[in-house]
Amino acid sequence: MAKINLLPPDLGPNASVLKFLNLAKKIAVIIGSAFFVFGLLLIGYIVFLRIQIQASAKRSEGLKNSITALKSTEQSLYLLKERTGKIKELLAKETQEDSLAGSSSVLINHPGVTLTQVTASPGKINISAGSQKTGDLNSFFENILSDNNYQNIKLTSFMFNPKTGYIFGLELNLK
Amino acid sequence: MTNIPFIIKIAVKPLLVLALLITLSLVGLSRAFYEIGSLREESAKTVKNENTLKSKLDILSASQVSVTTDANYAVSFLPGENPALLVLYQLRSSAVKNGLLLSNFKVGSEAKDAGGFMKVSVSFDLQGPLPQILDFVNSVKSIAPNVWIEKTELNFTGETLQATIDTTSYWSPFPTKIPPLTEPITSLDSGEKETLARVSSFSQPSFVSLTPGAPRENLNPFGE
Repeated sequence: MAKINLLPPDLGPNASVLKFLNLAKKIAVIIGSAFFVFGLLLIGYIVFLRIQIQASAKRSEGLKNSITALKSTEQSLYLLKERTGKIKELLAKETQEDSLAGSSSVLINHPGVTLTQVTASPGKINISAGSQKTGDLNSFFENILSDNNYQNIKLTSFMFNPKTGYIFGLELNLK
Repeated sequence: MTNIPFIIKIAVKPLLVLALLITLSLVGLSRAFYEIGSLREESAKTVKNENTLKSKLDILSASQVSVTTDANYAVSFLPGENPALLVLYQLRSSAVKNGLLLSNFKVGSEAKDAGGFMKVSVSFDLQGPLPQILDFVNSVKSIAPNVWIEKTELNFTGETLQATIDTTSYWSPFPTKIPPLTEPITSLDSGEKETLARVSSFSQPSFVSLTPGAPRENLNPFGE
């Protein structure tokens, strides 16, 4: 059946207006559908993230309980790390070799030379000694000179008395 | 002019729907993206927290067996309080082992070192043969608690050789707080292991601990 429009054509909408309205309708449908689909995806993603966070928090709680059960181990490990750090610092600070231990060969083996006093501090050793014979004195000095432990060897005093023989003082600086 | 109201009448509805849809999309999307951003941030935080706790638990489980003994070695070398008595015990033991007579033991006052350590000076006299005194001096380097020889004076003038030795021993108060549960922890690195191996080989003070006896009932309080 034919469509009958009794209204005068002047009263009807313009063709371009109708075209524009049609286009607007199509855009509205497209935007609406895209919004619906995209919105669903976003909601899904949000739900997924929430579940993931909850699961992770639950697992963390379990781990916390296990760690609390090992509290004494944690304390010991923390103390151990703190102590070893400080010990390392202390050992680095006190690096100087003990001078007495480093001079044992000189102090023990000295035929004909009588030691009277030895004072040792880190890196330095002072020796006061005496000898009756020049030969013994020579071999004592040679023994010290051939020792590679010393950086500086200083003769601080040297005396001769016909009764007591040679009396001398030495200052040795360790390397 | 007569056409305008009719055009508006038929155009306003779809245009309004379109504008509403666009506004709703923009508002909804920005809200959803904001929510997703904060959730992702929270998720990253919880996952990081979980990983920290997991690695902490692994480290603690792995070191559970040896950590107490190792901590004892470290504490024995660097105690948390003045170690003068332990030093006396160790020096006396070493002197006896070397056949030396230890006397005139003096303990100085406590002082704070420039590096933050606490220190105490300890001096004493030793009598005996020179080789044994040198052995004693060598042995002091490997005892716990730590002892550092500052000065040694050997006097050969008397009948027996006398050595006057000044030493220093350090200690450092224990930490009073441990980090929070969620704070990460690391196992010992190679440098720390090396230090620990060195310290654990040192001679340790050994004590016999006596447990106090339980109170017992006195049946005759007026008797003996």
